Order: sequence, then C-alpha cells, then structure tokens
Amino acid sequence: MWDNLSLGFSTALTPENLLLCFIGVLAGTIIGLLPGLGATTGVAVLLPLTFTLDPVSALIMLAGIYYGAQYGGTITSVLISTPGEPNSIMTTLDGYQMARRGRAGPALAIAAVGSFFAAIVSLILLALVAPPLAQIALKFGPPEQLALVVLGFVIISTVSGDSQIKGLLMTACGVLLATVGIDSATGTTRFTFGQLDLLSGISLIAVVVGLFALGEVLAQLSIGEAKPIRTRLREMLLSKEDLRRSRAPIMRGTGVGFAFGALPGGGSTLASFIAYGLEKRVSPNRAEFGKGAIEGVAAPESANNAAANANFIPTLVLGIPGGATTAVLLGAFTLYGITPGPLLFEQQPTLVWGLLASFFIGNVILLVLNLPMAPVFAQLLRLPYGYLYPLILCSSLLGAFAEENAIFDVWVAIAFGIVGYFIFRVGLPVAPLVIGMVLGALFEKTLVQTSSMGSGSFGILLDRPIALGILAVAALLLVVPAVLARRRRLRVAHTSLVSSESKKDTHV
Amino acid sequence: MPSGELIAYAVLTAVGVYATVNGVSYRLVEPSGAVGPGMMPAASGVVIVGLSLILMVRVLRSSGAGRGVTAEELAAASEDDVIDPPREHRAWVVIGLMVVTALLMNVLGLLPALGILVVVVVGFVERRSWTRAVAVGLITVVVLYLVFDQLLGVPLPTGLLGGVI
Amino acid sequence: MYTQPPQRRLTRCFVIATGSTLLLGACGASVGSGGDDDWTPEGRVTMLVPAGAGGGSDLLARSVGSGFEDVVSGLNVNVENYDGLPGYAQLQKAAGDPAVMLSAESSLITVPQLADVDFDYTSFTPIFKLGDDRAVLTVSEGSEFSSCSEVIGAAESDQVQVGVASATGIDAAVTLLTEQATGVEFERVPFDAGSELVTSLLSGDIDIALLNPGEVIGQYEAGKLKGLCVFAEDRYEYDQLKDIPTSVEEGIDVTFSQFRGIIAPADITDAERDAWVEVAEEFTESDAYDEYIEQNYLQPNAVFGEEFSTYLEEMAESLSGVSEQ
Repeated sequence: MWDNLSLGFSTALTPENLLLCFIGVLAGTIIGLLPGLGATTGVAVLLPLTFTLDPVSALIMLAGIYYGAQYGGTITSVLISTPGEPNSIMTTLDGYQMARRGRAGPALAIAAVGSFFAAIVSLILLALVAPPLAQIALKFGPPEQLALVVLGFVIISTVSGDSQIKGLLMTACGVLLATVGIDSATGTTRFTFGQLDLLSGISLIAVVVGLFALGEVLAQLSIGEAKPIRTRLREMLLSKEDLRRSRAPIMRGTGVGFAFGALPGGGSTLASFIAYGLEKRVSPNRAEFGKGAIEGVAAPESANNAAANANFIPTLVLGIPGGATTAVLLGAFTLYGITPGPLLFEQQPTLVWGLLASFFIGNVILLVLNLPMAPVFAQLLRLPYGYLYPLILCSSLLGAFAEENAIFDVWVAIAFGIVGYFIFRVGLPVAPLVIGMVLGALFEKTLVQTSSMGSGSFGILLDRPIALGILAVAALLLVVPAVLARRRRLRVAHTSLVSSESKKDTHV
Repeated sequence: MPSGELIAYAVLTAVGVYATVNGVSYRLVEPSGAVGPGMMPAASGVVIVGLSLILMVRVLRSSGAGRGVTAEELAAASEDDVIDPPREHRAWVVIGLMVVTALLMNVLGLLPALGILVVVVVGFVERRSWTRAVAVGLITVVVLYLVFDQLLGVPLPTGLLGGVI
Repeated sequence: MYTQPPQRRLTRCFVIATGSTLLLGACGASVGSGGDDDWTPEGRVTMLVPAGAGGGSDLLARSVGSGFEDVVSGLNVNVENYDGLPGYAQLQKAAGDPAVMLSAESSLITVPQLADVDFDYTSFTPIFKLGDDRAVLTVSEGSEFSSCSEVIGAAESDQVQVGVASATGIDAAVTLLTEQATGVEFERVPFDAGSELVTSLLSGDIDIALLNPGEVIGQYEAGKLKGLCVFAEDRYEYDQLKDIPTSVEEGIDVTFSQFRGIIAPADITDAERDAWVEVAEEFTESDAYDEYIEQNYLQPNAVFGEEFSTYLEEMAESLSGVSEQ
C-alpha cells in the first residue's frame, strides 16, 4: 500500500505533472462555471491537445478538468441561480437564496470546504477499498437500481415546498417531459411532433437554464427590482455557526455521494438530489430549506464531489465507466494505447496510482483557489441588477445552445423560462419538475429492464434481497413519518382537550 | 376572469389527458410482458389529471373563482426591499426580446444577436444611457466570443454574414 | 466650423463598419468552394459528429481529423458534436459544401429504416469506410454456455436473455438477423450503452450480449468475459481474438458487422469527392490509421468512393428485413 502511494506521489509531483494538474483544475473550474458546457464536453474537446503528452500526464490534466468542474458549477448556481452543471441544480435552491441575503460568500466557501472534504475522504476510500467495492457494485443490477430510484423518489418527496400535492403534480410533469423522444428500448418515437431536434429528447440543461435562470429573472422583473445586496464584511466570511451547522451535512453528503457514485452508471446528479432530500428530512433546521439554509448547500456539494471521485471505482477497477465523463476518459485510455479493464491496476500501477495521487493534489489546489475567491466572486452581485440580468440572459441562452450546438435548445430555454415564470406566479414549486425529469427517466429505464428480465412479471424482485431491502427502507420512510405525525396530532388534540376541560373546571 | 391558477390547472388537465391517450396508443405492455413505451406517459398523464382536478376543486371551493396573486402582492410577500414599483410588463417585454433574439440568431449570428439583446435591454427596458448600453453589449460579446469561440471552439452560428465572425 | 453631431458620426461609422464586414464576409465566406477541377482541401474544415463528445463516433472523428491534418498540411479539422440526428440535419444543410464531413457508422442505415426522418444513406456522398467493427457473442466467465451453437440450442427450449444496447443499434440488428436465420427467439433486455451490457454480463443479470471487441478486450484478457463466436466469415487475425470461431462455423448464417466511415454532403462535384478520397487513401497508408484500427480491433478493410456506396447499398439490403419487424 505505501509502495503504491509513494509511487503515485513521486509520479504526480513532477513539475510537468503539477503544471498540467493546475491547468486541468483551472480549466475545469471555468468549464464548470459556464452553463451548458459540461465536464464531458470539456474533456472531449481538450482531448486532442493531449496526444503529444505522456499518457499519465494527459490523464492527470483531463481528470483535473472533471473534478475541477464540480467546484466551478457551484459558482453560477449560487450567484445567479444558473446551474453550471446538472449536479449543481440542488445547490441553486438554497445557495441562491443565501446570495439574495448577502451570504453568497459563505455559500461559496462552504461549498468549497464541503467539496474538499468529500473529495479527500472519497479518495482515501478509493485507494483503500476500490476493488472489493467494485465487486459489490456489480451486484446492483436493474432491480436494485429500480429500488434505489424508488427510494430516491421517496426521499425527494419532501422537496416540494408546502404542498405535497403540488410537488407531486410537478414531478409527474417532469416524468412526462422525460418521455419525449425516441424510446431506446423499442425505437418508438414519443411526443416528437415530427421534429428532428426532439428525437433525442428535451435537453435537460436547456430546461434547467430556462426554469432557474430565465424564470428567476422574469420573476424578479415582475415583482420590481430588488435593492442591490449590501453585505458587511462579517457576512462575507464563514462563521463558526456556519461550520458547526455544516459538519453533519457534509459528512452525510459525502456518504450518499460516494455510495451512488460507486455504482456503475450512478450519477453525481442523482447523488446530489438524494443528499439534499436526505438532509432536508433529518436536519433540525429543515424549515429553513429553500430559503437559504447552509445545510442545503453543504450536503449536495459534498455529494457531487464524492460521487465524481467514486465514479472512478468502476472505471479503474473494472474498465466500466461510472458516468459520461469517465466514459470519455476510458476512451482516452484506448487512444493512448492503454487497455482499460480488470487488469489495469496490475498492468499500469504507475498510471493508476499517479492518477490517484494527482487527485489529492488537484483538490488541494482547488481549495486554495476557491476559498479565498469566494468573497471576491460574491462581489459580482454588487452590480446593479439592471446590468446583471442582461448578462444572465446572455449566458443562459448561449449556454443552452452550447450544450449540443442547437438553436432549438435556445427556444427550449426560452419556453421553459416562460413556464418557470408562470409556475412562479401561480405558486407551484419548480424543483420537483426537474427532479421528475431526471428521476423519471431513470425510473422508466430500470422499470423496463426489470420487467424484461422477469419476463413480464416483477416476481424477480423477490429473488433479489438487496432490492427488497432498499424497497423496505423506502416504505418505512414513507410510512413512519406519517404515523408519527398522526400520533403527535392525536396527542396534541388530547392534551388540549384535557387542558380545556381543566380550565372549564376552574371557572366553576 | 378565472384566476391564473385555475387556468394553469385546466391546461395541465388537458396535458394529462393528451399524455394518457397517447400513452395508451404507444403500447402499455409489450408482447413479451415487459413494460411498454406507453406506460410512463399514460401513468404520469393519469397522475397529472387527477392532481390538477383536485387542485382546481380546492381553488374553486376556497374563494369562488379565485383572484390569483397580483404582482403587487408577490412583491409585498417577497422578503427583499423593492425600490421599483412592480412593472410586470417588463417581464413580457423581455420575453418578447428573447424571442426576437432567437429569431435573429440565424440571420445575424448568435453573438451579434445576443449583443443586440443586451443593448436593447440595458438601454430601452432599463432606461440606462445608450452609451452605457452599447458598451456593456460590446464587452459581453467580446468576452463571450473569446471564451466560447476561441478558447473552447464552440461553433457559433454566424447567420447570413457567415465566415467572418 | 461645422462638426457633425455625434449621432450622425456614429451612424456613419456603423454604416462603414457594416459595409466592410459584408464585403469581407462575401469574400472570405466558404473555404475551398467548389467549381474548378483542381480542388484540394485546405484551411478550416468541419467534421460533424451525430453523437455526444467522448463516444465512439466522436473519438473516431477526432482520430480521423487529426490523421487528415497530418496528410494535408495547413488543414484544420474542427469537430462539432450534435445530439444524434440533428447532426445529419446539419449535413443536409451543408449540401454542396466540400468543407464539411460527418463521422458515420451503421446508424446511417438503421435509423432511417426505423424512424421517420427525411434522409437516408443515399442523401449524402460516401467518402470512405475505415473498417469494420464486428460483433462478438459474449458471455461471462461463469456462463453455462461454451459455444454459440449451445446458445442457440438453449434458446430453442428456454429463454435466453440478451442485452441490447439500443433498438436502432447494430446489436439489435444482429440479434434479429440471428433469430431469423435460426428460428429461435431471444428475450431482450434493453440498455442504453455497451458499458451497461458489460456490467450486466458480469453480474449475471443477462445471459449473452453482442459486443464490439474494442469495448471489452480488457475483460477478455482478464478472463472475466469470453467471446463465443464472431459474426463474420473469417476469424480475427488479432492474437487475442483469433481463437474465437465464426458464426458460420457455429451454424449461424449471419455475418453482419458495423462500419465506421466518413461521408460528405450531397451535391459536391466529382473532383471534390475524389480529392477527399485521395486524402483518405493517404491516411489509410499512415501509421495513425494502423494504430487506430489496432487499438479498436477493427478490420482494416477500407473501401473508398463508389465501392463504399455499393457497400452501403448491400448493407441496406440485408437490413431491410429487419425494419419490417
């Protein structure tokens, strides 16, 4: 173990590799910052530049882009309610609200701290237990994934604001939106109205940018221009209180993120959703969520970093991509003449351990870059809204375009901006719509797979203890709070009945 | 005039019905027994119809036809201090401008169209000085160009002028 | 002294600027516009990819792009990704422009057959096929099957579950052709990508899958997965794969494989097409081509121009039975 680590660090700490690591994480931060441009595209675009480099060095840089983007996506989420990456969507809920209250600095700072913690912990776990974890992850087939999505729905159901019914309605709308396009299982085109651009479905980024960024701008315009946010120096930095409140969410977020990221195909987006939902359920400050609770930033931000790193487990151990960006990195392996697969650790120890060591170094660099920059970035909000929001409009429309070079997506973003505006005016919650889109797609996929595996019945689930276990937890989460709440109501009613009785007595 | 909420729920009900009907036509169950492509559209359609109707009934019961929330009320409810009186039509103007911008993208090119958007919003909607508006517009276009076109190689449509930008 | 009022001056500047822009635009518009007989590719060329960044088609495009750049000095290939079919729509829009290409594979044939689109493989100009990527019937190391004929035998009496990556993909086509040729029926479990098939094979959730060796060579080497037969007429020459029998040897008369190639827009002149074919031919003689072929375990059976068109026709023929399902 120590040999491997020393091999790794000696590889990663060469001047060339350090420089490439720095370039990678910086590029990653910028790419993550820009809405519409994801880590996946960034890595693929910069891939040809690396052909002249030594494979280890090239991968160090490309990997830096990947986890660097996890830090960058937060910045626009917090400052202008525009998620730079899909896994920063949850951060906009509370992060942007914190910014509106002049607390953008602490929001960004806690995101950096949480991300760093999650990254280091997940890397340590990666280094120690990657191979056995990969084997366990293999046990998660479609039935288990279906169970996880169901659990996800249950956990997320608390993120519907005040009304469960409205939240559920929006979720169902999101699920419906996700069905647009060619169904990959059967080739059936659904709801495409003959439009070529809809055949691959509605772009998630365009929807998110439209709902969160454009919708927010339109909402702000209609209710009148808010005073520019004045922040005092004290409020720009993290307070002890912030850190105290964030400790547990960061740890829980890391756990959730790591668990979901380690599954092949497990996404950091899903992990961030679950982490947020879980935090809202267990946090003593849950009433503040959605209005600027720092836990609502700490949890998903830690989760997305942990998941991004955990994605490397199936990638490096089995040669199976953990997600879209790791799929590109695996492609890069092939281009460099390295065969990814179960023998990678044996055949290429320098590469693997050098890469892992560079992750540590890269995250340190990112923390050093992001933490002091947090209050600086927050200054951006001092700009009068009249100048700020046209910039938001531009970056949103351009971002929607840039995801897949489609002007059609610009229209989608505008359309969802209008939808978001109406949703705001009518008082329906916005977040469940996006959650429905993401979870709905996964739900359908795993549902179809499970039913195919079971030849039309779901009896197969009875044979899969892990899936049953997860479903049981979901059922408990659904039932227990309802039962407890009912008992509490009864007890309160009983108590007030008793006390009013006794009051009556005293009046006699 | 029924409230915005009522209209929204009515629209959603219609959407739900459409989804369910189409879902059924896409096949609910495959011959092999597996879940078919129509199941999710139909199921979500049913949920949408059901919940929209429930919410509609609630609105109708609580305040007659309901009034909906006006911009003033939203502003009052918002926790920020507002310095401008609510000007709801501004949102509509911006929506219109964005539509025009999107239409112009194929004619003038994406960046020029965005540049014009910025200039018009800052100068006309926000009533700042035109010099400022043009300056902000130019800076925005230049920065976006440098980052997206030069640095990242994203192919930005150049419209009918093509080849130069 | 008469000085023009500021607005007027501004307007004049604007007019001059616009005018010169338009002029420059008209001159510099498209690179290497067709018309003369001695056209050579030069300057900035666009390579369209009807798939997201990082996938197989994308990496092909980038490899071929940089290969072409090595062949033609001063050439600058710019890869543009589109979300699937809109990439083909872009190619349609570029009709007549020889400075555009697209990285294609068998979806070019299968998608128009299965989905309602207004183009098919004849809507474009084929330039060259790099090589074939064949499908290998793959099982996990612990599988009960040790040959393809066994798999067919089992499928006659029991349900054999095959993972399929996409309804419009090559493995769906081969699965269907096999069913037609042998009269058995497989049970399909749908997935989104080859990598998911690998996972499901390893975990035992599916029995078999048809995979391209390039995706799974690492698994083969580690012994976690084994290839039972390759759908082709001859065996592989690669060391790691030469022991895999062909489908024909196993009694399955299906030899369908996927291609990877480059196509150009419609309506370019013969001179332009031939110029690209020349570049492609030079590319196939380079080391970069050999490396790409070997790294991805493709068959180095490149065909160019007219031959490629014929190849596509034949492929469409053999697949027309598939689309009638």
